[in-house]
Amino acid sequence: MSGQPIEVAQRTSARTGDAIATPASVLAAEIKALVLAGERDVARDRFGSLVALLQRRALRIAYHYLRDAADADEAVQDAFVKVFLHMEQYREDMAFDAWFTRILVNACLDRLKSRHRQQRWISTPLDDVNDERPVEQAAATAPSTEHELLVRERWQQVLKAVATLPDRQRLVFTLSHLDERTAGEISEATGMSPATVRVHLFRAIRKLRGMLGDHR
Amino acid sequence: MTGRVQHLGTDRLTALAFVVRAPQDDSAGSAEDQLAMTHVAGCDECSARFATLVTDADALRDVMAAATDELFDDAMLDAQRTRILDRLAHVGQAARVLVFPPRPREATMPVTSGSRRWISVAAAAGLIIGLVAGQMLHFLPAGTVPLRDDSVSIQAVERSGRPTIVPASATFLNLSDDELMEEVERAIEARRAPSLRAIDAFTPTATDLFGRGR
Repeated sequence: MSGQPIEVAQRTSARTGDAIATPASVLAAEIKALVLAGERDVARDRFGSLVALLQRRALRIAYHYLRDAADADEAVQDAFVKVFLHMEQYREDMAFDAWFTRILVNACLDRLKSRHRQQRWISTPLDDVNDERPVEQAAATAPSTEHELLVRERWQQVLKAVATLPDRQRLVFTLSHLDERTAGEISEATGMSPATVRVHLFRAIRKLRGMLGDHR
Repeated sequence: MTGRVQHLGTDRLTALAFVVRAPQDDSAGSAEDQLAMTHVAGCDECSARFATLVTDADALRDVMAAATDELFDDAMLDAQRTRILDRLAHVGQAARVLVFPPRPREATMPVTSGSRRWISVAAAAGLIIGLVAGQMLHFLPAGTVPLRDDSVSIQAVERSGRPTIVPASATFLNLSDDELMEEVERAIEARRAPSLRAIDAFTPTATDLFGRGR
């Protein structure tokens, strides 16, 4: 384990370099130039490539935050549409991923508010349905040995635990762990202070740690 | 004598596995974290527990990603991308708003301010002409009004041989009562009005009445 800090340092430097000119940032700058030049149709065609580049990552974040496939789909669509409509405001000096993540988080928050408004009037067992979905799918994927089934079942429990985290903790945990965002980037994306991000992250990890490591 | 080794707690190790191992920034690179990582690097027991937690953290990331990827396969991603581009293609186009309930249908003739002015002028002119014409008719003597000569003489009716409705015209209006009744009698006695003869038989003729009176 002596090599661990070195690995940390390498990943950090690599990430710092990525943040300046990611493929998404380069593509976004190109699209912005097209929009500013009045070639909106060409820009829209190029935007399809940008969507393809970020789509899966966006869906992962949205789905684990919203815990509903339809809501995640809508939120991601809204986020991309908003990005294109405000492309002229994109600043090339900042990482496009961070800007996009902020817009995506806002789109997810809008969906969440909308859902809470609906749930105020209509009682839907949303959590039960969605929490079971990965389990059903995992069980239906392929026959496996008993050990694999146990391992899978255990991970489904962990996923359920993630899904039952409070909204903010789940958002911070998803961005930090799944999307590998730093506390500073999460702070930018969510509007929380870095200290608040850290608090939410550690609380989330504390709730999950009982299912990790020692129970292996 | 060997001192007791102070191992890191599970909370601390888990946090390290999730956060410190993650890309660092100002939050993860604290002196406290670096100190803890130094201990992990030199402690076999903590190192083993840390390795397990790191493996679990990585596995959790994979499981979370897989759970989403199973839901959103490539076909769904393509469909979503198409929907996004479709939405962008329609941005800026005015949406058609359906009014509900529908408004009562208004006149289809386009009315502009210019045509509206002409309509007002025409209506006023028509009113004035009508008033003036009415006043002129009122002040003219009755005898001077030219009457259309659409009267049909009885003789002409008899000559035509067809039953004809004789129009009431100014000619009859100018006749005296006696003359009018004689005209009626002559009409009744015409060949082509046999249906009226039965009625006529019960009715005293004007000649009888006026002749006796005289």
